[in-house]
Amino acid sequence: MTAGVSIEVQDARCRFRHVSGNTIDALAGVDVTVQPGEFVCLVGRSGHGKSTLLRAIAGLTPLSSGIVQVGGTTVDGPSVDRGMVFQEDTVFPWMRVIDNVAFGLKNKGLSAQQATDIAKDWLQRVDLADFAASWPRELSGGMRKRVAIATVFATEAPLLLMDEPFGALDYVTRLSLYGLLTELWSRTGRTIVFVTHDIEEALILADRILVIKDGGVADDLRVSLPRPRDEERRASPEAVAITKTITRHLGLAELLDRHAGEAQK
Amino acid sequence: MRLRKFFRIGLDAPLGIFLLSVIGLALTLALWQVASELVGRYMPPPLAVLNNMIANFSASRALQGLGLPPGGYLPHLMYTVWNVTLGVSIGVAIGITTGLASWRWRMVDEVTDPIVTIFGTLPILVAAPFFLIWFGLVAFAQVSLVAFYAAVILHLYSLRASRNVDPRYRDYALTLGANDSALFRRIMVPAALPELVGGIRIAFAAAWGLAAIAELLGAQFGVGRVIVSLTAVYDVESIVSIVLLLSAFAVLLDVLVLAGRAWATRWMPREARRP
Repeated sequence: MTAGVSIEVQDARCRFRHVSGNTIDALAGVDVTVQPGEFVCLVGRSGHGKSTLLRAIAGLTPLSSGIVQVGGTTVDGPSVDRGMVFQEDTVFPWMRVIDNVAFGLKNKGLSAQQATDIAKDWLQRVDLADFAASWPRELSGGMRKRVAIATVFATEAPLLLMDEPFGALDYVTRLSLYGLLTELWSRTGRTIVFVTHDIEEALILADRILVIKDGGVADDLRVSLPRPRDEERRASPEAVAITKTITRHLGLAELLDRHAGEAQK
Repeated sequence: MRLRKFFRIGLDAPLGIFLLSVIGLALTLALWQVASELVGRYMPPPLAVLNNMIANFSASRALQGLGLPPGGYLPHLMYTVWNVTLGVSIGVAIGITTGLASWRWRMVDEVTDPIVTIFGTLPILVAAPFFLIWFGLVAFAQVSLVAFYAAVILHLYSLRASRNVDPRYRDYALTLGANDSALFRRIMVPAALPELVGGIRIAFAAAWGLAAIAELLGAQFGVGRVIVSLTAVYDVESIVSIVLLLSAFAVLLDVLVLAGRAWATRWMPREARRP
């Protein structure tokens, strides 16, 4: 079992130049601390900096200033120790399923046989053992996500970063993947940072929800609901209170009032 | 099951496509026959060309009479085919390497871009004499010429193909610990391969003309050299014969390249695999 790692983000700023010539602060001085083994969801509206923060932790997007440390080491580029599952379908279509799962392991220096053995084991855990020799095109979208999850877990990365990985999937497939992900997380103790704009998804998965707004952390909410978090638990007073807090931050109430006012006119 | 698929009715069925190809070939031969009736001596009919091919394929008195080595068309065809295959192979290796390196390192791109722009636009009739002067009337000159142009074509194709590879695959590979070598071998090359094969086919198509021109300008051997000798005696029938035989080899090589592409892109959906 691989233990998770801590994350320390200090005054992280990320400035982009827009095509119009204006500059945009995707991250405007973010300070975040994540404890080892925590499951943290970053929730917020599109364009407010969730994915930029995640990519900065992954080392894929360099910061304009500030610092990101993972397990006490400063992040200065991507690493196999920070596995990432993307929103888009990133499973390599030219590799068979087993080779996809073994890819990160081979990069870590394992022999082909060792990598294949571990990959087979992980395919078993995500219930895809029968599809080891298949091409990704032969799998459904949900199955390909399971391949991506198996791939990042197989590398034993202590930190897993997930950028709206289930956004394009149907509701039932998403529910089954939530179950798989929380099971693997509780068994392996990895630290997971999961980006979503879906409050229900965050309530099902997270120990902690960080509300990201205007490039900063607007709120830091603890979720102490027992797992598994079925419909009943998601309708509990604690869950409703969290939902209300998040929707207030997201400006949903004002948005609804405005639409209602426009409709009355 | 396969047979039923083959004999399915419709112009898009395998049998339909095959029949259309046969009709196209028959039409070409018919037009050729009519043209030969109208033009006369300088447009030999298909059957005469076929007889010429068979008669002179492995031994030809006519060629011997023109001072060419014995052995008919075959050794000349093999000489040209070998030069083209070798030249394109070298050019493909160089072009893909420099193209991918230009994608990876901006400095390489800055250095190679003006070279490719200047030399890539150089007409063959201008470049060929230089190669023949520098390297002499030997196979090396013809191979170098073919390799040079193939490298230019593949450089441009691989640079464009690598730029077209979705950056998400690169990001994903990097988060899985891929180093430069793994990124090239296991991500960029297979992802860019379908487009690269297009470049290889174009390089081959251009190479036949390049090799023939190089041989026409000065060579001891090869299809171009034979054509020069035959032109001097107005032997149109033999010229058409050897040119068609060379075309057959070109088609055969194209089929081999396409077979290689089909194998290398078997991961793609069937409809995307069409060349």
